Amino acid sequence: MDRRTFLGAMAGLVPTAAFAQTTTAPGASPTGTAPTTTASSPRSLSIGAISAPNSLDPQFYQSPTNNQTLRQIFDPLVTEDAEGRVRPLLAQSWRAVDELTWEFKLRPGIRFHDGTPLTPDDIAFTVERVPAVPNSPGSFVPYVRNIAAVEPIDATTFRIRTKTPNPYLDRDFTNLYILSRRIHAGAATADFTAGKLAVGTGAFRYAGFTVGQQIELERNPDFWGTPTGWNRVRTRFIPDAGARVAGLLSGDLDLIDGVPVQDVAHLAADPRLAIFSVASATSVYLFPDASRDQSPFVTDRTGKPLDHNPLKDVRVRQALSLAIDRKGIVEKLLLGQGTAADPARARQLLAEAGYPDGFGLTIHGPSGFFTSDVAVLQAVAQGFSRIGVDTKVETLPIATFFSRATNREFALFMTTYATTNSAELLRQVALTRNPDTGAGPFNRQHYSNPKVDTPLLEALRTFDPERRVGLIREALAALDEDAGIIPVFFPRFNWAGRKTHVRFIPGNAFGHTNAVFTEPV
Amino acid sequence: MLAWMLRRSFQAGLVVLAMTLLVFAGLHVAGNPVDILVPPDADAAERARIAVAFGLDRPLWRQYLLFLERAAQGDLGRSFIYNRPALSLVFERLPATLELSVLALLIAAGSGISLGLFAGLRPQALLSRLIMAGSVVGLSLPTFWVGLMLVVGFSVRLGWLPSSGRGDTLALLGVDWSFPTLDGLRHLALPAANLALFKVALILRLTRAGVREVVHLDYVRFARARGLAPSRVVGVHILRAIMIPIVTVIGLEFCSTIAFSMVTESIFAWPGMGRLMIESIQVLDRPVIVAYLVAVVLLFVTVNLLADLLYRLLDPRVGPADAATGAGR
Repeated sequence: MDRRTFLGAMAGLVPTAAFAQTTTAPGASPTGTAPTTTASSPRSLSIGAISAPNSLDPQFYQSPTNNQTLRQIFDPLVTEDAEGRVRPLLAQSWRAVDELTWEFKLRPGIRFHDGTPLTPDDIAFTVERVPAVPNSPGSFVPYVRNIAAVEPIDATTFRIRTKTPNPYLDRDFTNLYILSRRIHAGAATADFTAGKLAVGTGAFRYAGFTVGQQIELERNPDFWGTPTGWNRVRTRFIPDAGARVAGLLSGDLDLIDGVPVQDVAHLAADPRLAIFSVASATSVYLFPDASRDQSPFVTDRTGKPLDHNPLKDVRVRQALSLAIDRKGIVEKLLLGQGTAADPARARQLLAEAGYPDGFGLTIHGPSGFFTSDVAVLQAVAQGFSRIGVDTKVETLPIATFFSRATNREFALFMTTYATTNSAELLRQVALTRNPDTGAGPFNRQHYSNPKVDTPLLEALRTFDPERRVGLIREALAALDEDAGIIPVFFPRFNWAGRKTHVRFIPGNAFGHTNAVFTEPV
Repeated sequence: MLAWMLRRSFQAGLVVLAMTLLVFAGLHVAGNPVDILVPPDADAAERARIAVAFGLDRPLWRQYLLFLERAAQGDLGRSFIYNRPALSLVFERLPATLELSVLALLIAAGSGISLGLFAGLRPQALLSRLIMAGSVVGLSLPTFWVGLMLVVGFSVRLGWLPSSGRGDTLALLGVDWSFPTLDGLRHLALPAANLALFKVALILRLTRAGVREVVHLDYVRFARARGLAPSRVVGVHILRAIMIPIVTVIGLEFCSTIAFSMVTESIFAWPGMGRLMIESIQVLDRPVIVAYLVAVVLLFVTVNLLADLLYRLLDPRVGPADAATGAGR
């Protein structure tokens, strides 16, 4: 996938409509589970997952691992599908009444695992509890900070008032799992993790959790949607890729996630197994230092530090982008599709910028952060070297990499951002930093471009969907033209499972692994 | 004796203090946990809140003094990740590591000493030569490779034993253990064998060397000449004389198995302390790293102490002075 398709795809993922999002899907099975066996047949599933949740409190830590695990026990109001669209779940419909008011309608008759009915007041409680969870290593507060009030209207209807206009309010609720005031008032994080209060509305009930080891779930027969076809699900947390693959091959596990790229082919060839795959919402990108007059790790070809920063020149950044063999990276390293680099045009741009002989550069990236990350960075460096930019690669464990990137210690580094909403990527990564307002929290290179900021800030408060998409496209185009960040590719997520036992249907583009996205064969 | 033990404790205290200082400084240089923990959709205010919640907004020396103050009251801090006391997290993982280490050590001591005795008493036998050749292989193969081969052989190809995890556990004294259940034992087999392999080789070579040395000494020959049963000569006279270096090695190996079985625990997804440590280092969860290392230092000190006491039982010639200097590593 080349740069233009990348940005095009990103723009295509801009949520379609806020006012128009009153969609209801009455017949849709919201969990994606359509059991092919009767409830009485004993069916159990054993999953091997790469990472382990640190708690069962759905408001303790906003991380993919916690969210994917707890999605089995709890439900959010709305959810994102694999294409990034917001879909109904506990809420069957919703609309923005005006720019500061949203109205949601709950599906009637929903009950928590202990029989407690779900009421609009529970949504108010859920929102209230978020900032009250102590010592969270990353909380859900950014989603609710802008909420002024949650006002119940009747037994299933409520309104949410926001302090400032937020056209993405429904999207903000996709990760907020709904708790019950009656069950969870005063609950501590430990009460959830101990299982006592791991009581939600989800398709599965808590049946046991050992931190860092495994979680066991059992079927919720009174589930409000189509009950799952599994009677029991055990997810074991196995960080080592070899151990997961061995577990699958030896029959200990039915389904594994994070299949190593080099194993995909031979697992797919195994007649007992199937590979399940989805395009991810994670973009791998390079972030050049385009703002400082001098940058570390930039030298001339003899290795002497340069007194100016070539990355400040848009032509140099464009040349670097053109030098990346995205097709090679995707095909050779990651088994997929892409388009070719244009080294001739890249060299020409470098010459125009005053670097006919290139310069020296050390680029940085994480190791062990995503699939083949080191190899990808090396391939990028080869592309740079081919156009005369003498490039060295330094990879670091994430424990030190992100701190150093945040401290602006790199001239150019590689990292990822996962979202289906391009406005969020722009807001978090490319928007000009402002310590007073807290804007641009992940703009680690202090990139600043008014042609990106102006349409983006406008889009973030625009409710008219068409106008908003137009503004976001404008901001993306400005970022692309300026090569402020240089996209490399979208990695794919792979699962492998026993064909005769389980089918995996990726429910979103974030690579979440859980039993809600599976069905028995 | 008492003075000696007090001196030992004082030394241990100094080691712990130096270690915590190193960990604080080292992790501070390595990076900021907030950068790893913070969710990608967080805003700047949320970042700041996380730093404050973990006390990371204060200067490092203040953080360290605060740690010392709390440590003096027995509180080593709460894990950034789990929001639970770090020490209890470590101790929660201890049983899994403990049963794995004990089983590995039992295998190693049992087979290592008996194979070593055989090889030492009959050095010319074909089997002895095979044992010695095998021990070289055992010493030189890397643990992770042997572990992978065990998984491929016994789990994937033969399907005899499970490849990972703890299996069924049984609660004894409020703690879950794998060894009392058959399924748990099956899960223990491969990782324990993997951990034991190197130690078997080590102990059998030590035993053999010891036996070769003492078997020609006068007292053994006199014992034989007195007409004592061969089993008594070997079991009492020879074995007792060669046990001191073996006990030292077993003690040290026991500690290092508990503290550093990360590789085996990773390969077999064994949820022990080693895996907790690796995971904590990856996300710079300082309280857990510190608690873990404090526990490990104390463990080493205690086991060395026990080994010293054991010397006395084995060899009455070892007195307090020798124990303090000779074995005071």
